[in-house]
Amino acid sequence: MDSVSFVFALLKIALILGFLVTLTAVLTWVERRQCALIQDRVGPNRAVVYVPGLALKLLAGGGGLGLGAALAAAGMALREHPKAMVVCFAAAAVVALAGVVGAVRVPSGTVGIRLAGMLHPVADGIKFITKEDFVPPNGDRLLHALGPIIALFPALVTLAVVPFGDTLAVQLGAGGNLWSRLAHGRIGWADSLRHYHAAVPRFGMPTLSPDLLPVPLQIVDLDVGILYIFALAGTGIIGAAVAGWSSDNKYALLGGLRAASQMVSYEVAMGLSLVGAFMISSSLRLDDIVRWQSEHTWGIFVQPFAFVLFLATAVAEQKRTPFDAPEGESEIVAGYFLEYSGMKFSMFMMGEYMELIVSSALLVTIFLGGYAIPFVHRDGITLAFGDRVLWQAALPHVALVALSVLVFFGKLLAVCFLQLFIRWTVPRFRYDQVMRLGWRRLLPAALVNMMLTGAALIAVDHASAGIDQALRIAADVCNAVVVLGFAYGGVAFVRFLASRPKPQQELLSTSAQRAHAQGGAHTSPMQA
Amino acid sequence: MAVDLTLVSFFALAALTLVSGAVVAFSRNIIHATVALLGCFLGIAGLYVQLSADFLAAVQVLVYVGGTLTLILFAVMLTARIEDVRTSNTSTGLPVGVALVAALLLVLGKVATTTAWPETPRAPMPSTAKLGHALLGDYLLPFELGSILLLAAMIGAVVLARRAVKRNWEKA
Amino acid sequence: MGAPLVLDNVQSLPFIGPELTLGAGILLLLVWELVAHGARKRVGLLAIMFATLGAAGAQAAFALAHDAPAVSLFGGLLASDGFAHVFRVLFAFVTAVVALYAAPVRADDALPGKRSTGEMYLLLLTVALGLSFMAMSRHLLMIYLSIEIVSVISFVLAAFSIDDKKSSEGALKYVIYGGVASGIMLYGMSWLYGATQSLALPEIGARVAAMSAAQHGVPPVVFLATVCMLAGFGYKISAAPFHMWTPDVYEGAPTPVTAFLSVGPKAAGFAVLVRFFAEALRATGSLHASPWPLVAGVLAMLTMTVGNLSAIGQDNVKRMLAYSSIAHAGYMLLGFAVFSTTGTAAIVFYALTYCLMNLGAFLVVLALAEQNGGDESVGAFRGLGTRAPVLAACMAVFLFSLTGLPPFAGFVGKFYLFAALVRGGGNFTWLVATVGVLNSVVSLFYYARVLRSMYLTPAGASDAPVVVARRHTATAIALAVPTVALGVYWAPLYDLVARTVGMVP
Repeated sequence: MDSVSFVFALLKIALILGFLVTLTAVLTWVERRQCALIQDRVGPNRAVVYVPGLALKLLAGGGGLGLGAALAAAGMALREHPKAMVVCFAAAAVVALAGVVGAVRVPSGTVGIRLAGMLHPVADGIKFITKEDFVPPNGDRLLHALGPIIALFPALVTLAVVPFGDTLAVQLGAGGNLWSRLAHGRIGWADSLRHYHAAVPRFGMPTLSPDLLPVPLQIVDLDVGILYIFALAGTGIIGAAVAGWSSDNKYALLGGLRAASQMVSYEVAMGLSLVGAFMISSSLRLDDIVRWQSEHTWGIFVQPFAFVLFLATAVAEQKRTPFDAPEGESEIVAGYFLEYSGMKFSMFMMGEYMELIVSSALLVTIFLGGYAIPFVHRDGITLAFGDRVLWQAALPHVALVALSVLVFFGKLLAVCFLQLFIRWTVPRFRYDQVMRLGWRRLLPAALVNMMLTGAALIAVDHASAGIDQALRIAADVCNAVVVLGFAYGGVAFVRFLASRPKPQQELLSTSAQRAHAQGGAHTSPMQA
Repeated sequence: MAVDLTLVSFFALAALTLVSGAVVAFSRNIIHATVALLGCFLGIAGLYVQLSADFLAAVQVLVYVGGTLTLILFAVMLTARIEDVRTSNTSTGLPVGVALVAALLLVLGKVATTTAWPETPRAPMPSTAKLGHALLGDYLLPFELGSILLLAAMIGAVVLARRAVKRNWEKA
Repeated sequence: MGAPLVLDNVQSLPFIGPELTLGAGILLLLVWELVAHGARKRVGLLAIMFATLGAAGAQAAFALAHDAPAVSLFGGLLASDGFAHVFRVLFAFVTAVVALYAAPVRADDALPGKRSTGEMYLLLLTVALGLSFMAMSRHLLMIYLSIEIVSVISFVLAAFSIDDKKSSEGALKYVIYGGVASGIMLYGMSWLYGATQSLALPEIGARVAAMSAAQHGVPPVVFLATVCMLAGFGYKISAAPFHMWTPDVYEGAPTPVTAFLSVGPKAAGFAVLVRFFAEALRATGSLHASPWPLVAGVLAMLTMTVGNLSAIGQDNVKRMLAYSSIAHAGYMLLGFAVFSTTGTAAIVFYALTYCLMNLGAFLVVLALAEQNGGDESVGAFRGLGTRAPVLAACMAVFLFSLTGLPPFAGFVGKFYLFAALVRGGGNFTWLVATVGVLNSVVSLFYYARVLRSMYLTPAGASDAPVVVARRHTATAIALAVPTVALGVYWAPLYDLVARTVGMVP
């Protein structure tokens, strides 16, 4: 491994780990928000930092003006590029203005900063670190400490094989070693694919060429791909089981046993549900699977059945409601992490949320197109149905890669949100129901899906050219449906944001009516 | 001095495997032994990667850690009084055993070092596709035989595990 | 004889007809076991079982009768030759006889442990499938897989009456020994693969021959690998250092299972051994060329002596027969000490006769124990000559034959074994032969105890005449008649065996 790819790998690891940890914290907040929304109660807003208003004013004003000045200086430096200069000056003006307006609007006196409850994860962190680390006196000290580590470890490393963006191709300049060539290289800030046409194909991997450095946006590109994820996810089971056993507590032991059996059971159906997707893209590599989807259509359209199966098994693997029998607070208190406190407890919780993120990333990658956007390829936008091209537009390479990264993380966030929402909508299964569902419903269903996929693949392989063409048009229609759906969703979301919230109050009692007549009840800042 | 990273990682993995294996063999606490098996499996998977058998490594972890080890843990946890195992037979014949093992290791080591092992070039890394073709091509019969073995073992397990209860229609 | 034709996957399918039939039978039984009820179920089970075995055996017998040319199947994984056909027919026959033992008499008649017969039939068929593949394998992977099929299912069969302490204890010992043995065998295979870079027996044979020629003797790595693999094979045939499981398993397992284990896996183990010695090691009887005759001879002497001496003190007839089966494995190992064509033919012929007489002996124990509440001691046989004359006569035939007295099949088998040894010449073979003859004399002692109990000890006052199920009597006679017949007129069978053995390269 040369030093360039080593540095790139470090950068990618830093990006993914930072994203993972941050998103874990954010998800705990999202979950509480959703809980508050669903159960109509006060959400996370207790965590508050009191700051003197003056300091805040100074910070906002000074920060805004300082940043504006820096941007203006950058604009001056970019005199040769008029467009860039204009952009910089405009940004400087906006930032400075925002800083001044913010400074004016901050009230004087002490200000409580809540950030809509975003401070709660921070408060949680402080609490976990300072809390007593309790170890059951008759438990197994070594395994008690080892349990959360084994449980957290796989969640931390499994994202490594998930591609989070299209391959970035750097045109190397002339020079000595790779570093200096890279320094003189271009990544085409404004260039479209045409500049690399020979080396970067529209589909597939960039070909190896001496003056091109492909940087795959994926920490490691393993041939075994998804098997790596499954293999490591399997080690997490040991963590829960060991934690349950070492706690010297019957409830914890029961929880550990439940966790182990549930995860082992659902891992089988989970793996089998994805076999159809592998068969279609004929690869275990996640980037191959994404590439297939960008060339054809999203996996959810060709494997709808598997999507549902995978979603269900993924939720079960995370031991979240409705599959939270291993925790089952109404039956076995808290299950396998009953005797854990402080940071060790938080490692279990973080592991759970990280697994959620990983499974969402897998869902996105395998079924929702990964970083791919319908009708967008390496050479820009090509609106086409079958062989009929309706509209084409070239886009710069860097913009496309950046867009693919943004799209991937956007999809990831959306699926995480969806998965969190499941928790508040479905009641818990009983333990025997969990087992029966896994072995007698999901597993056979996954097998059937596999067989049907195989039959369909054989049929498609032997299909006539007309059917082939029809399938390609159908794939493009699916892509169009995705685009239209997103357009509609985007519009609806913007309209939702723009609309004023209408307070719905039913004034049942006379006192309520009187209060309403006098201008409404006092709204305390405690309420969400 | 240039350090051969491959060699270093080999020794690290071998040490992990052997130390975990020793814990598995000698630990008095059967749960510790089971958890140590995890290190053993992971070390072996690493050795497979070093031998360019990436698919095998992934499957090794998947099957042995995700499946076998979990089931072993499960069985061990469900066993009562697992920590104070009383051995009824205390005559272990330790000196004889040690002497035999030492002799065996000597013979094995001698043969292993004196044999002229044939060398073949190492296959390139992605082995998944090749393995798939081999399993459904040249080695289709063993593959199917393996599935028969598993089916029969599953039936056997059900036969053994099922309590000797008569079903309703059998009573009639 | 040129190299046999090697066929690919699709071309091979017609040649594994018996195995495909067995596989279909397994699936049919599985479904039938789930869907059928009551009396119809029993009839169906019997019909599927015997139709499957009959069809499988008939196909193999057809190939045998027509002298189908030897072919190599699945790109060299299996051999379809006369040697394999003989064993395939034998396994179908043995399984059918055992299935007859275990057949339910009434609709609700369950086996010990109240498990359904269907499950046992299903497992028996699976073992039969594994045995067939064992006899055909000429590739270490196939050898290992088929041995594992046989072993794993045998564990279950041995534990079939799980509520019986002896049965579960025996099965546990079986599992532990089996695990260790197959581990050592795999280790040996890995050494062999490392040294020869191949898993196919003919290729291994070529490389080993080349290495031996270069080093003027068998290289130590091959010797080590073979010794390790002999642990696995020896476990299957219950040869001496690996025999410890045998008495407990045989005593604990339900008698039909014991009968099956004492003949089926043992014969298949010998088939694998013959192929391994012939193809991979290219063994000869010469003591100078290779250490194999010495290894086999020592193993044989050890096995015979251990088996016979331990059998003397046994009171439980099943346990006694278990030790006697160890001793018989030793007799058959004698053939490996002179690995000539006559030696191999003698092994196979002995295996065939051994199956007849051993199955018969266990059948008598089963029939008797069924009537007297599970008593399997020598005492249970007292006065059997008057209480159940036919059964006693059959038992006498089997025991005489097991001892190796003329005019019974066992004598002919032993005669050919010793004749092959003597023809081999050399001091060592003479020594081995002498030990073998002495052992036969010792074996007479414990077989005679049962005979004495049957004919010379008068029946006690409480001993009622034994009412044996008719099918048991019929089966016993059906097994006793060929035991006697082969003792008198053995030439056709021996010629057939000798001819088929010649086909193994």
